[in-house]
Amino acid sequence: MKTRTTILSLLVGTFLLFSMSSAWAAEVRGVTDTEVKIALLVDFSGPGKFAGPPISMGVKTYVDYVNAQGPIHGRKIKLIIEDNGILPNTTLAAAKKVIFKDEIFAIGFNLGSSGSSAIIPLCEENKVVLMPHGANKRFYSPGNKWVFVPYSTQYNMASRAVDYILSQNRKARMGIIYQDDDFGRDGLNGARDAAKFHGTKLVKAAPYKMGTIDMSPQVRMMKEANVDYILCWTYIPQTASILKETKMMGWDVTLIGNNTTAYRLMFPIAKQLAEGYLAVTPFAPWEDVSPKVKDIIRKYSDFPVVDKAPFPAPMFLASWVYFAAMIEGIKNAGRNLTPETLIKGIESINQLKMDGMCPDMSFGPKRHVGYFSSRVLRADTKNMRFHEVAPIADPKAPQD
Amino acid sequence: MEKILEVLFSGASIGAIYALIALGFVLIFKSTGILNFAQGELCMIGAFICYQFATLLNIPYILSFLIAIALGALLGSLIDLLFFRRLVGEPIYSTIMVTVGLGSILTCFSGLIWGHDVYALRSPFMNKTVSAGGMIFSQASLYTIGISILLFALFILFFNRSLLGVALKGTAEDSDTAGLMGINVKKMHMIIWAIGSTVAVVAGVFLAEQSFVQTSMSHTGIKAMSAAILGGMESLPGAIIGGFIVGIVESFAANYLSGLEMAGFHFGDIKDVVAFAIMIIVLMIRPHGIFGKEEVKRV
Amino acid sequence: MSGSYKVSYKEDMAIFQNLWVKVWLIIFIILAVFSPILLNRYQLSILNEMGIATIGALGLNLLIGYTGQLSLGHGAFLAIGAYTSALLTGKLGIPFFLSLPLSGLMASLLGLVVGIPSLRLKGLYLALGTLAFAFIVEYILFHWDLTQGDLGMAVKRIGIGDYVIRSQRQYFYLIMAFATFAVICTKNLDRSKIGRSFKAIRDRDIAAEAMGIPLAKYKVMAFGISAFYGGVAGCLMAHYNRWIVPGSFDISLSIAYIAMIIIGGLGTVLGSVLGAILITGVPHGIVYVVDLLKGDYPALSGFIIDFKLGIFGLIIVLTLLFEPKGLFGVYQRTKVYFKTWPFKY
Repeated sequence: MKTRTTILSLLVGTFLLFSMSSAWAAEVRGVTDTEVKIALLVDFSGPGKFAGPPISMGVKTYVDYVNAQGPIHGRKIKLIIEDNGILPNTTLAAAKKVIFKDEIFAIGFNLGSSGSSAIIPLCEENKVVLMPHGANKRFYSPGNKWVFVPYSTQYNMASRAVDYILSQNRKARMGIIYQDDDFGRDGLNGARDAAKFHGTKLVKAAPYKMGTIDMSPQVRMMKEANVDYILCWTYIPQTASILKETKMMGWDVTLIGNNTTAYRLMFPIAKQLAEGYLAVTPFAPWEDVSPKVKDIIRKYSDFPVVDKAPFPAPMFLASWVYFAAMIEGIKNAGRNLTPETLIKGIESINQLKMDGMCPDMSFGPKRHVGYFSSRVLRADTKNMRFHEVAPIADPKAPQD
Repeated sequence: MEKILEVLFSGASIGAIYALIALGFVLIFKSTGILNFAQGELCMIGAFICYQFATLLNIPYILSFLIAIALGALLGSLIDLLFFRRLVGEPIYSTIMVTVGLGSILTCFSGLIWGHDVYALRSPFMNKTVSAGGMIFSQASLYTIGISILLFALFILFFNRSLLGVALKGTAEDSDTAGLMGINVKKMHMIIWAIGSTVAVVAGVFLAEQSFVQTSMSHTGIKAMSAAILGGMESLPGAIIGGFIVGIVESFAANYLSGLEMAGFHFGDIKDVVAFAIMIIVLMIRPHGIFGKEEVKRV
Repeated sequence: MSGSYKVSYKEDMAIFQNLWVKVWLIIFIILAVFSPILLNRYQLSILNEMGIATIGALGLNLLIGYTGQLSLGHGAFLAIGAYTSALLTGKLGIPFFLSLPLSGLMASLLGLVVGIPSLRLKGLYLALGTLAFAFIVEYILFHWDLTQGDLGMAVKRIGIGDYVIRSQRQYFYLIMAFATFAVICTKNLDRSKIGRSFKAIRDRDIAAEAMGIPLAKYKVMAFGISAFYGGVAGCLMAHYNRWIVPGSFDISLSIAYIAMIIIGGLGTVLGSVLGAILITGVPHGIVYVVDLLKGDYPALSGFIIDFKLGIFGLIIVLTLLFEPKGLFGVYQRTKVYFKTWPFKY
């Protein structure tokens, strides 16, 4: 009986403490007079591991460059790099760690879309501005106060692809092979809406599960539907596999894919088959990137060979764009840097010049996405590079 | 009609790979009582070894294939020596969990050595086709099916005719009695692990031939398990036929059912769940598979 | 085992078997009450994860450790609980304290369905059946409009009337209360007829049947109870993280749970708790070590990150090879060692 009373009294004590718990708030987390901490969450250990080194190297280079230009309102940028393992659970753990333990001010980049959506409540609660990579239309429409997307989404790119196809051939029959997740479905929706906008439709849509490498059923479906263009909302291995299958069927069809395939890795994987492959991406091919950007990389990066770009250049550069937006936002926010002023700061970015590397960025209170536009590139297997065939343009169909 | 034949053919070419992996499951399970969840990972390691020699070191394809087989056999016997020799007679959960753990360790190591990117295997059959009767077949698939069937025939001969094969069969039947008859049971288990991992390596190289080399290849292993279940975990011909059935059913489902939408439910790529649906149905209706015998337990 | 002999049934059935248990319990309660004041939010968030994992691990241990039915699909039950509660609170506006048992019941119902084949299947067949079940659940969550695909859906906060739970500290008390309750329930189950029947089935099902234990009833019941715990853990996880994606409940979660009970000790309550704490703690420990080494030994910290993925596998393999009884076995041995010191046994 005695133990029972002890337990009971302790429980009552617990309850008292429970009701006492109060919030504490003093200064702004992650901001001191001389420093502001920004987190970079990227994968070093999970299935997206290959993206970790180029992205972290790219951001490091850019932040070094920015810091070398002098502090922003007296503050230098301090980069906190954390491994997020790309999966939702691991991303959540990483975000908790940087917010609670490292006490960062904002998350400048987070790789992985389902991981990004899994940490949105945490960011809201702790007033953390989040910039998700691998974004989806859902991140900006309806959107969230704390989420900014400084990159075209798959929705935008697929709309642009449909515009391009119809500009080449008004009566083209289009089919889409898409990855059966948010990445591919966002592309599917974009292409569908754009086709509807132009008064036509997609003749066939064939999904595949992530990780599949045998694409013969999907290609066969396309062939049966007798399409002229296949939109490929796929990653490099699947795209290469589709190229392989069409070659084996002796079928001359034009493939148009997304930004994830618009880089050099395409060539060693798909070899000669990549010739004539089209890809929609906001980024300029590495060879066309302005000398100014290349100079920055030469100066601030410890990466050995810049001109040959053995790393996936788009990822290296894509990560810059996020930090360019973040740092411009911090500049606009002024000396009084709080999460709220940062949001105002980013929202007031207007036509931020990106040197032709990617479209210029603009945000607004109702517009948490940097740009909708992208360009079309064509693969050239002889020189192992992509050439621009259609310039940067906004998709014609409405994007929000 | 042409389409049906094409679908059948592409189903058979992936089915041959399932059959090889399932064969590995059955061999190891039958003789040691261990269900090796790491079979898919062994298959991935095999593909990577072949890639290492054929693509990175530029050694002729056939030679690198043989090296991969030899190293695969070595890895298999090493696994037996290090882990499973200690676990004979342990409860089933512990052997299964050791293989699951082993699988993630192998994935991790291959990631450390070769990275998590996608690679192409350099082989003489790459992107080449044969046309017959108005249809086009890929050489890699033909080669896969042909060699697998040859291997299956060899295996069945080996287990029925050769002395070693019969000894292995005896060990699988009853290891205690086999031991009393003067068969070195430990050695037999090691040989079985070597053979099991060799077939996985062969399957991995074929899979890489038809597609690419990457760490996520190992998922094929779990699907092949449904082939083994369908055939009955104890029967070699069962595993082979089960493999082909699963491959072909998958191929038909992918060609005729994928992409449907119904009342807010997107079928998506149905191919991926077909194997699991088959597994559940078989387990519900006929747990011992097509060729398996129902176990009678005496107390 | 030396030292503790029980001379009466009452002693054997007692929940607190000796003085030391009571002392430990009081120390634990004091720690639990005061830790939110002493610890920061990060540490509390780790403790919260551990608390939720404890509930799930207890459930899985009832199935694997007590009844001897191997399941590779525990993650699916967590998913069912999480999605049920998210949909009930989000779409129908049902309060949390109703949706919590309902999500447990929903998981339990599906657990019963999975449990039925267990009458015919044993050992590895059952493992494969549950694995296939888990894959199919994941497939459905991915493709159903209601569950909103792989970007997942938002989950409401826990609230009773106007009182809404927001801080890690509040979550800590709530989760600890549930975890403690789950421990007590399991302990009671263990001591009752049901627990003894489970163990009899585990040790030899045919013999158990011969002794008059209805196999069908208890096997299916084990699945139901285990899934109930899983559903409750999933529900808490959903409301704690406030966003759910199908990717959180994949096969790796099921394996992590199995790792918990293997490392903790199969068929023991203490083992489930210890295992949950250890396995949930390991990734955080790795992060801590990596942070520590980052400055001075970047290469070494890089290597540790590289090996992160294989660490659970390594732990499972090493435990099963060298300490099959898990942490509970270590605890028991140490206890005996000190009790009999200076003698060897």
